[in-house]
Amino acid sequence: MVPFNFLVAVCLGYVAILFLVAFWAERRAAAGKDGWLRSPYIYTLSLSVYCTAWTFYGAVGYAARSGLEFLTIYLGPTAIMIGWWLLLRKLVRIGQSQRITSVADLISSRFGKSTVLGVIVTLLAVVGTTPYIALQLQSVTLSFSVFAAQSSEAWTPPSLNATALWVAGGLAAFTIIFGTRKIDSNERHHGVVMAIAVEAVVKLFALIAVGVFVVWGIAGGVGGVMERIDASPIAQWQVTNGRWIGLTFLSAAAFLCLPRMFQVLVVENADERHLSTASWAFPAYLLAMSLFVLPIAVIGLEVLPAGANPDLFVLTLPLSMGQEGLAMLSFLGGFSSATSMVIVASIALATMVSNHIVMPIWLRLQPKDVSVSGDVRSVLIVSRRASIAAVLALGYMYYVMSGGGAALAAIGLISFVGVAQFLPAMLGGIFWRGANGRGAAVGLLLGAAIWAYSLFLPSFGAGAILSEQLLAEGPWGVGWLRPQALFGIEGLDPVVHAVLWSMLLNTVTFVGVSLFTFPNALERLQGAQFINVFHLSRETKGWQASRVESEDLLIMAQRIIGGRDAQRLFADAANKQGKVGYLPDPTPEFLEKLERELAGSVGAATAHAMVGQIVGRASVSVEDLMAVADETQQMMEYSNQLEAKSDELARTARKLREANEKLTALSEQKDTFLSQISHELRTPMTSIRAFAEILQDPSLEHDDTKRYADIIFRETIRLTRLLDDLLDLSVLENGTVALDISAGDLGALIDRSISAAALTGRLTIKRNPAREVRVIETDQDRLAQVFINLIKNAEKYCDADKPELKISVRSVGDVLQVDFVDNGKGISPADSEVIFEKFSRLSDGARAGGAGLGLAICREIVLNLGGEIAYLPGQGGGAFRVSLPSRVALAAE
Amino acid sequence: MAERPKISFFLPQDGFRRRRLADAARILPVLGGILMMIPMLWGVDQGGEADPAKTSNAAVYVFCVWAGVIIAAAMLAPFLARIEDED
Amino acid sequence: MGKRVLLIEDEPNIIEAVRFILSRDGWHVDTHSDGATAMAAVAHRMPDVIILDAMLPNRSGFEILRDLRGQDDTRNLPVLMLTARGQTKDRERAEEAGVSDYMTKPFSNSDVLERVRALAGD
Repeated sequence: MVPFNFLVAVCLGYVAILFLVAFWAERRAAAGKDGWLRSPYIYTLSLSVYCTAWTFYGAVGYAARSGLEFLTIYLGPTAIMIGWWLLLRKLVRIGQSQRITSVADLISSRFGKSTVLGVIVTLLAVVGTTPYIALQLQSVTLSFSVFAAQSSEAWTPPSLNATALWVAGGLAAFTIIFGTRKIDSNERHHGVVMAIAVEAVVKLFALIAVGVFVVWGIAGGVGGVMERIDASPIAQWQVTNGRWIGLTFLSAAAFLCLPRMFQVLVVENADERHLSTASWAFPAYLLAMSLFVLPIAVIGLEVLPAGANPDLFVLTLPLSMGQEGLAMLSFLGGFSSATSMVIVASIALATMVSNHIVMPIWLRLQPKDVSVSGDVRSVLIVSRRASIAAVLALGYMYYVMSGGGAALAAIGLISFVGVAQFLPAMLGGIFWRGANGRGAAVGLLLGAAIWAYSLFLPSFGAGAILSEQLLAEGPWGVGWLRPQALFGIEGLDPVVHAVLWSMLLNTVTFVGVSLFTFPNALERLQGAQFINVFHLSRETKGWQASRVESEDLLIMAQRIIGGRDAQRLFADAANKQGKVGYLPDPTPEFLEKLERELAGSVGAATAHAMVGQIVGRASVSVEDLMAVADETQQMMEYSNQLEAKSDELARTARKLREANEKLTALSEQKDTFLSQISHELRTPMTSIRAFAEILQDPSLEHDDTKRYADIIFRETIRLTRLLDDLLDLSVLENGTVALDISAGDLGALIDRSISAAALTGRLTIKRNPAREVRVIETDQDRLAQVFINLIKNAEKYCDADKPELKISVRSVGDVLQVDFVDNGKGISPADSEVIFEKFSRLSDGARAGGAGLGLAICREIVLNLGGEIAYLPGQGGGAFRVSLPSRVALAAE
Repeated sequence: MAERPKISFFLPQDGFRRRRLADAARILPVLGGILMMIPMLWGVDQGGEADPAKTSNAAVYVFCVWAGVIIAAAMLAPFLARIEDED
Repeated sequence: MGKRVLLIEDEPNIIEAVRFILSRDGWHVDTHSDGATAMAAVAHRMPDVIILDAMLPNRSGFEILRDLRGQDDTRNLPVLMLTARGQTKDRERAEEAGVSDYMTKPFSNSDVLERVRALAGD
């Protein structure tokens, strides 16, 4: 008989040893002597948190009831480990490069650091894990009760609940001490891992010891065991295909998704290469753990009384044989299984609760403008510790309220189905770029709902939460909604049924929603980093590092500032470093220069981030940066196009505005022109009409009659001349004038013009006939018209006492210049700009009858002859220069 | 001791071998899965037409396959650990 | 009668015609072809009616009219404006400037006489 106090003492001693181991491991790690702690075998042993008390005790009971079906629970993880190259390797790499802290963090981070997803996963994990923790507490208290039942009545064991409370409290203390020493939950918990590894050895050793005792101590060797198996109630293969496949799949999924498994597999992984060792070593551990399960079950069924609980065979079998030491060892094995699970699970859950629920709420409650950096550390630790305590308290409460018993025993698989809901989001997240957060959230929620409705809630028993009627007939009598026969498919095992529908609908909605909605930018970036994790974290080695970086930098730079500029920049830098080629060493100076160059294109912050990411080997892959660079370039091109387009629009608008202004000006010109013509026509007509009326007066004297008739005559001529001029101008302006080109002597032409001007003799004309002797090929009459006009103008406007007009001729190259310079006071600069306009009037009012069309006509004629006419200022009087090509034909061609 | 062979281990001609090793790592779980599905063919006692397999034999089969897969994985593991990532 | 008309016009033939028409009716006609001298003449001796050409050298008829309307003694002086540019814009400008009556060239002699008489209050 084992005295209860002795049992407690052994427990406490064992726990004390675990404390010491954990403490020693922490010390060694802190001292930097952690080489041994980082062994792949420690990693492998830490994975044994998969084997909880449920598997330690329960596997034998499971085998006693269902034969070999219990193996599915081990085959699933075996498949995952054997296939590590396909899945775990990537998961671990992502976990390390993204500094993932939990399964909730993985899913939240992958889908754009979504708070909502983090909360969903955390809550589901808490709901799924709390009963599991309760199950561990139950197994420990049950094992206590076994010893109590065996002992004399000399000692009374405390109530089971109190035992569970003590266990929960002790576990909380251990977990808080060793699980929250580091703020960074991504750092390894060396003490915890070491303690778990020790416990892994203890439980394996205990189970094998019991197995060896059973096989060789009771059954008489392997042959004897085989005979007894054949003779047992479980002699025949009785596993249905659905459960064989379904449960194997389920255990594989749970192995990946269970918070505690994710913690040891991914978060506590110190070196990716440990995976390759664990890939075979952990399946070997599982094999060893399950090797003696069947013999123990069979012998237990045979040896122990019919009503014995097969879940406790591991304990009761040695006890019944009087092997108290072995029973003690077995008890410690079960205790180890339970405690290691609870410790790791509560660390994992506490991390999730603290990071995804407590901290977001706490941060939101903070005043926005207060800097929180100083406070976060302590808040984080307190929240993590409180979360551990809360998780264990929840487990204890669940244990107390459920009352233990069979309902709790079934919770293992139920819990598996719950956490397996993470699988689609997890796998989709690391393999499928199109997966997005909305799909993950919808899939998770639907899967969790189906799990709760079809498995979790019914597990409390008919009438507990879901009514019997609902279970039998469905809600509101809708048959196809019966929790355990969804869509009318009956006869499925409840667990397989729940796995099938929850996983199927979870996956379908996840994929479907992902296909029809669009991820945001952060999700896309995170997705790229997760899926391309192997391309980005290529470890660079030795001297190659700098070249690889420089090349990446060059490629990136080319995409941002263009090939030629980037190559020149790099070649210059390489030159300065005394190197040939385009790849300089990424020295700080060069990087600073490059950053500045890039900043010109993409902005300082982006440039810094890009260069930093490439050089710092941070968790963004080069490919991602290239993608960003490409996008930037596209955006720049697009904005350039936009700019070009808006430039074009502005140009068009300017043209339109100019055209409009021109039209307005033309319209005004037309108005002005018309009103001027009106004025020029109406003025003589007024005189004509007035005198025509006056002439009708019979009392008019003869002289007056004659004078008035003369006025009428002159005004008529003036009118005619005006009309002639207008027609002339119109023809000239339209360019429809027919020129009559002929060769003639310039001197003769000037002679003719002077005589045609019909001068009154007041004006003296000075010429140099010798220079006028040259042949000019032009329209002689038209040119004469110009000359006549100029001579007449001089006569009209020259205000000198002795008016003189000097006509001089000279040749400048091919151009013939004829100047008409008088000795008057000339024209003011302001006037000289408008004198060639139609109807121009000089500001001093000097005007002698003409309508102001003469010079306009002159200009049109000269232009038609291929030359030009200009007013020459500064000649001591009014001066006009007519420039003509020697041969007008040249100009006409 | 791990550093030097890491550089010299995979000469260019080893690329082929590396890829085959990675293939093996991918095929192994599939092979194990198929072998583990064979128990499904043994059938469950459904009226005695065919005798279901004996648990003892089944256990021997399953544990042998299991052990075989573990040994194969153990043989592959040291090589896979050295392969640089390529997918 | 002996009422005075001041004619501000730069076209000699038109001056002569208007002078003839009005003198025959007994008006005393002063003529100026320039705004500045005309204003001086008005200040010297107030006419009964002014006939003003719209288009004059230097200062236009509109400016002269505005000046007249800006002085207390000539504010209500009757002004008949003549224009050769028969446009509604000119008429509007003239009315804005405060013209008393407005005629477009060419005009009929009797019309001029009637309007001058009306403006003078006869």
